[in-house]
Amino acid sequence: MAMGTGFLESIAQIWRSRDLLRELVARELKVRYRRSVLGFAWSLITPIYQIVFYTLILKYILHVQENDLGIKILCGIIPWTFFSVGVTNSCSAVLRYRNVVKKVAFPRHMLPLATVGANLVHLVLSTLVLFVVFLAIPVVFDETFLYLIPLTLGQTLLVAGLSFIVCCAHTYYQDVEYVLGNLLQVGMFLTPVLYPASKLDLVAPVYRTLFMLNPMAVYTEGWRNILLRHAQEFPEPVFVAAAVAVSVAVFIVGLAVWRRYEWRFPEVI
Amino acid sequence: MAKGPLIEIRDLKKRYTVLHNRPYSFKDAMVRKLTRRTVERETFWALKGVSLTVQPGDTVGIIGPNGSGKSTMLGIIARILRPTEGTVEVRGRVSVLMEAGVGFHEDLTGIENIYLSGALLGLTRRQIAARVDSIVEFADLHGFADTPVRMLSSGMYVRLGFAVAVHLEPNILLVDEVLAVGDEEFHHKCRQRLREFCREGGAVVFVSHRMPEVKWLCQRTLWLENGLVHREGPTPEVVAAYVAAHQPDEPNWDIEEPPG
Repeated sequence: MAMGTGFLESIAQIWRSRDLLRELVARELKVRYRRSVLGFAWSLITPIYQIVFYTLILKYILHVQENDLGIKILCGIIPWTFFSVGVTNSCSAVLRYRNVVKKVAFPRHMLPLATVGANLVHLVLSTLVLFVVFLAIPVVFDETFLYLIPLTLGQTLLVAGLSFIVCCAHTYYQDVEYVLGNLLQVGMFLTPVLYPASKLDLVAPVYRTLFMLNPMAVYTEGWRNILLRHAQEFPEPVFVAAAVAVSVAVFIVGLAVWRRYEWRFPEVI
Repeated sequence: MAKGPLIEIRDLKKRYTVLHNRPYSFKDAMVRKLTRRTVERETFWALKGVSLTVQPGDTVGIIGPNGSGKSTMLGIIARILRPTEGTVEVRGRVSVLMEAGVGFHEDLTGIENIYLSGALLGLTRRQIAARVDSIVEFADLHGFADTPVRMLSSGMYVRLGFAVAVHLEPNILLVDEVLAVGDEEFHHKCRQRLREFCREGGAVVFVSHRMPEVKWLCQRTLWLENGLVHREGPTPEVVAAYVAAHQPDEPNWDIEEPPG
């Protein structure tokens, strides 16, 4: 790893370091799941209780008339969790490997990327669990489900780009994770996770347009539409294009920010 | 074997920026911005123009008082730190052995750390798998290979670090004050292994306060003083001069607390 490598070189490095990336992802999953007896099952508890409580409150206290409320919320929570947990976990990606960063030279951008990778694995596992639930409902599986793959790739670029930025910030200022936690709470309500974007049309159509400029709104809506409506009423192409463009831009900016600051990590941690 | 020097450093300078009372939190940083209090910035040069060439098979010692720039030098050769000025060319794989371990992840087991270290150095999984047994054997882990390394004794920890560093086939081995821990038998094994490593064309750069170790291992020694090369030459001469200058009437000069 020569000093002063170019931007494209950093991207090529991701491919060349795929063995390292795989190793780091495996470690991350192991460390996260080993500490608890239930392992992976434990990490499903959060979405499950979220659904139970949201359903109880919305359905039985506020009397929202909506069929399959729980499953609708679940379909929104899965992509949102990938986003929020992925970005949050990346904050400490460098600090968790403090020992290694201070003593070994390696392509350090693999650290936040590995965190994103581990969360991507988690997303896939959660989706498989969702499919099991689908078998029980039952929901018809069809080829529109394959749209989930490009959608997830776009989202992964977005999450990775933000992860570079928050990881840089958190490595210097170690309370960024808490600030971010609050921002994500707000972000969750500004994203159609607990409600469909179509409801915004009832408020005023302009709100829907504004909300859909948020790439996470497109991804969340996209997920729910693919899973529950076989991609009918999928977000309009212009919003999808905007979401992908923003995601790519965030990735490029994130990596540029990373390249600007990462060389000092061994000196400041 | 690589032709030409493994390490070629010319006129290397390294400047650190020390921020006194730097904000460690985002909140602090914001408060400072609002109250317009500035952070005191101080720069200092840890290295002020150092040159060094290391050929395959060389063993070079770096000595000097605390703060003379030894560790910075090692960090730069390892490509962990970025030089401020000067040219640094390092060819081949570099293994670093600093105080405790080569950079282990505390929550992972010995075996997992072997895989992680190998991957960090750019080896494939298969290449690492072929070396795991000899590493465990060399480190004498005796059934502790699957224990998280934070639970290992300091002796085991260092043994594992050394075993990993030398078995992942580096071209350059950087050693910082590590041979202080561990028993005599293991020291002996380490020395054997280091000699073998040099015979096979590897280069060792060794930083230490312990003059007997430097004398035993290094052909050549670099004496740093305040970020500059004070003297360079065959080890016995340089060490003798260093001892005369820094520890003239200190009989136990090589005894100190082991790190950690």
